[in-house]
Amino acid sequence: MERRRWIIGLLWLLISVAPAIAGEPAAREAWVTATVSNPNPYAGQQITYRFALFQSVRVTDATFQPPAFDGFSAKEIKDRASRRETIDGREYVVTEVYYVLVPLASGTHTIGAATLQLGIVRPDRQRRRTPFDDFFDDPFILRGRVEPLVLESQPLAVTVRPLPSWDGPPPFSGLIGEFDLTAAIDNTRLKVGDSTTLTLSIQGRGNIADAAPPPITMPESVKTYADEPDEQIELTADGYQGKKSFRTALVPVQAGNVPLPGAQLVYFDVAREAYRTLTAPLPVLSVAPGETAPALPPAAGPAAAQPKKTAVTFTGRDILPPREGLTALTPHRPLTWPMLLLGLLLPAAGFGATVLIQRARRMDRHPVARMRNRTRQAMKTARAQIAADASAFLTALYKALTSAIFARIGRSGEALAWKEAETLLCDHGVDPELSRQAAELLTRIESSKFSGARISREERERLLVDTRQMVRRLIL
Amino acid sequence: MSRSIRILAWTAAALALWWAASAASTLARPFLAGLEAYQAGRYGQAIDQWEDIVRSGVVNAELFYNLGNACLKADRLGPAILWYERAARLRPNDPDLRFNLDYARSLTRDRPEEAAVSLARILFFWNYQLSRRVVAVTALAGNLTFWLLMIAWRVTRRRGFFRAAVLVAVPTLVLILTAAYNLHDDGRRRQAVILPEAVSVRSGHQPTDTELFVLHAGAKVRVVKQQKNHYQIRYSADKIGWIEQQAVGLIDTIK
Repeated sequence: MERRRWIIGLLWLLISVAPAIAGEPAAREAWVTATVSNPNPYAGQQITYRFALFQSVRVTDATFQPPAFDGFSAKEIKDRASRRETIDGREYVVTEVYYVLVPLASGTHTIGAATLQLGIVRPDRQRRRTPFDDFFDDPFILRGRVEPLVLESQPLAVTVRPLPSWDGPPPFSGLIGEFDLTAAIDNTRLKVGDSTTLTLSIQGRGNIADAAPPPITMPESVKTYADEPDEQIELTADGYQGKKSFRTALVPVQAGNVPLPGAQLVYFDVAREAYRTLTAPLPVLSVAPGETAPALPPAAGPAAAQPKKTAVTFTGRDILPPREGLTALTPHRPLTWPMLLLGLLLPAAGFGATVLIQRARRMDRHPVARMRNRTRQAMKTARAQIAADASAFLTALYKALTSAIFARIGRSGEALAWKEAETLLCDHGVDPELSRQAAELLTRIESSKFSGARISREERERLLVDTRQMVRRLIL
Repeated sequence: MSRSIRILAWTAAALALWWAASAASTLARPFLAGLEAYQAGRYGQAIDQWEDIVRSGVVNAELFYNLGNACLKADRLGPAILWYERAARLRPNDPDLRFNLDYARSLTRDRPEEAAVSLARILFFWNYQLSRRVVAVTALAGNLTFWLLMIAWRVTRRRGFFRAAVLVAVPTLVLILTAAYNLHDDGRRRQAVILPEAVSVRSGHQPTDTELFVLHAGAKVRVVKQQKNHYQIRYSADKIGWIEQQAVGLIDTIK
């Protein structure tokens, strides 16, 4: 852009001559440009890529496609700026997008074209204006047709120069840009074992995030404990800039005056295009004898530092002492095959016993078993009552015989008539003669029981013997 | 009648108690004497006292540990590792024992050649994490629990008992099989420790047979065969030979 300054009276008049642009109206209404802040940077030097949109008409739906930035590491600066600028007497809105680029290697790199798709809003002249148009005159409400347009910036060639070689004794820090180094110590008058904080700060513009603590070879009488660095770095249109501080706790372990070596930082100065060595002198520590032996740095506070952790190693070797308890005399009984088998089989045997008991109980619940059991009980009662109570004796005999008959036919029951007993026995395949004899015995018992006549002892004995024999014949 | 039975029972109990107390005091005396000798630095005397207790039939990991300590202090590396190994067989996870055994092993001259971690150690990890006694007791407890649950199911017919029994059955079966394998293995596997400072392992029983390699005190070997007064031992896959019986101490056998 060519600019000439004319003096008219006391007024300064600035006349801008816009670059030649194609004569189409659309081209003058909106166009884009792309520039880099330095087309010949050094490898590692940060430069700025600027993409600008000039528009004199309303646009909508703008979509920006940045170039690939091959050969660079690129970081977009999020704050996009818009301003107004007058060119050729026409006012334009200029919107700018910035990228910070860091060349990764020397050589010629081409930054491709950036693309911007947008729509130009044309007023609809055929539509009649209404009184409400002023009310709704909002730029976000489009009332017209949208004319799509694709704008491309020109490709840019960037020639990256290699850094010159560095042979100096202080090592090159890797920093490229413009930097400054400062050093500060909280307290220079200390006692042995006291702690003070040395702060080395690097500030400036460039790849400051890569800064490492400047190397300082401390005397052996001072122990050092490094802290985490503190960073205050921001990304602006001029690239990365800010401050990085390295704090180190210094603990003197000997009394006396301890001169500290100065801190040195070698970086490549892009303004001077040469390496530059920064030196920050450090004061002399005045260390008085302490009351206690040198200790660890303070556990808290700004001077606190994390001591370097190391693996715990043996400083001496020995075995642990013997056991003194009398539990050492308790014999250990090893497991043997019989013990294992016994332990396994005993619970299983318990389970088996449970099953057997359950089965036996189930057998007891069967009518035949129950009747047989009742027969045995009744016979026992009859024997007991033979000399005492005739009625109880006869009742027991009756009960024993009927129970035996029921047991024989596989049923349970309480009472039977003699005829019914004979019929049931015959029906269940019992010998008819035996059935008849059983019925007769039942009749004899019933007669004696219900007649009320006194029964002699001999008669009772006979009835008992006959019943016992009949029961045996029926059940067995 | 019942009174006389009661008197007899009480008398028997009192006799048993007296016998147990007298036996304990009989053993406690040499044990404490051994401790006193150990503290005074008379390690040989401590070894004698404690070995007497072992000879009386006491098998105890703590006693073996003490013997290992005394042997190590007396510069008898082979017997020290032997006693530590015997203690480790009874109580493998004792931290003091592990520490001292590791220390004693660090003094041995022969580098073990067999890989420490085998596939069996990974697959059957529980058998290496738990002592054999714990495995056996847990297996028996699981077995008892299983059958009690089965009995409860049989009596109450509640399905919950049966399901619980099935759940218990799986780990119990694994532990029972492990305990059975351990018992079988105890009878089959015979490990030993080299006792002298150095011993020649030969190709045969005779002193004139070729010396194949030399093992040093504390080296752990496996006894493959026994013939006359010699053992055929295996140190690693490619190092097998014959050695005199008195040159090794069997870990599982205490004489």
